[in-house]
Amino acid sequence: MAVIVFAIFHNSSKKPFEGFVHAITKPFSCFFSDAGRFTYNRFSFFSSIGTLKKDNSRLFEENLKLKSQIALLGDIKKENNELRKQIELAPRDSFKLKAAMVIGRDMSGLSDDFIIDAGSNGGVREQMAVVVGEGILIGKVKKALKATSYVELIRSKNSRVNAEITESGAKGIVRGQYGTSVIIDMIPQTVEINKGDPIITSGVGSILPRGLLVGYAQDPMPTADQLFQQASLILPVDYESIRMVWIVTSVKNK
Amino acid sequence: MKKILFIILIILFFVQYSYISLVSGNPYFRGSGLVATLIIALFLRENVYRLLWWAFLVGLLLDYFSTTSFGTYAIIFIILAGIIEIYKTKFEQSGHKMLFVFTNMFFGLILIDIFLLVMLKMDILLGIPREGIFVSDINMGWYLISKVFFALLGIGVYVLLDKVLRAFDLDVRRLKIENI
Repeated sequence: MAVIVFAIFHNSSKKPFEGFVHAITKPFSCFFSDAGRFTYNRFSFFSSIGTLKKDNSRLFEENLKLKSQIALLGDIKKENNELRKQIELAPRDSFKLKAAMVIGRDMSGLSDDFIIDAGSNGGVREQMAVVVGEGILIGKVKKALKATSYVELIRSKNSRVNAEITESGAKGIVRGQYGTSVIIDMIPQTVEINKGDPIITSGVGSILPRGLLVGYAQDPMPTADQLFQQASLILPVDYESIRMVWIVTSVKNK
Repeated sequence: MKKILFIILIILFFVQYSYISLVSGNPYFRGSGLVATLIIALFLRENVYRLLWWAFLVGLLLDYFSTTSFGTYAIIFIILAGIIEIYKTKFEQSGHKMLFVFTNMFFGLILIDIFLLVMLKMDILLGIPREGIFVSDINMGWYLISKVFFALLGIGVYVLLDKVLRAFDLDVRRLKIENI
């Protein structure tokens, strides 16, 4: 029976009644993932009790310093906006976003895929960009079921993202390296890549909107065929601690 | 009483799927872990040939939440059932019951991963795009620590199962899948 099931469905990306199974198990997944977050936060709290007193006095001193720095924040905000313009990062309010919680991970352990609690019923479609924070790309919707969706992270082996180095405007492809790291590839040899150059989505192919931060370049090196160069990326987020994500459902018209 | 067994399965499944895999932050603690220990515990305790339907259905449940082909875990669990049945009678008389359980859990979990990689390789050879993994990419230290961790949890699952089944006087040999 198992062999028959495998033979029938092994070539198909869809599994029978998959959307239904995910839909009926979603409340349990949400409950257990909430419980996980709750106990994780509590555990973090109890483990930090010993340092609270020390932290309290340190925070008091920091508070005094921060008061004096508040006045500077106005200028910093302006500078931040200016920097975002310079590196062509799209402001977060230029996208229509849908919030979703991470409720599980791939049970085979072979991939990094997140399972989130938003699906096609909520307007989520395959290939939509998934971001955190101020528009930091973490992956794409790989499969949208009715109530849940699989998110393929950019560090996954099969992930490909059209990207651009903001300093030079050179375009390349960001791809995952077996879940361990991410590189930007197919950059012409003539382009200079500096450590720390921001990499953003280029919008080429129109699958992902332009201007989402992917990471920062480091360690450029020529490819094996010497035709192009590539660089590994420093990712701005810790994927293991992500609990909430935003799905870019559309780009607002300006 | 069969419902009790089913409830244990569901709880362990969601603890693994939505709790451990999210809280641990370590990729080696993801995967089928706890659910697999329940299946191995059942195989160790009972005649596996009477539990093949269980193995099949639990395998399909895992397949629904995996990027593997549908039916992969079902096949793996059934093969595992056969392997455990072949040698368990030789060793279960040894007297070191918990060591026997731990060893079975540990090597059972590793066998599941080996079968998973073999079936994944088959998929790739057949031209089906899959998220691949190389053995050289695996951090063996963390991998073995995670297997020891789950094998120890597996002893807990075995003891829990034993107590629950005794408490409810549930003989798994009489389980009929039609009634689940």
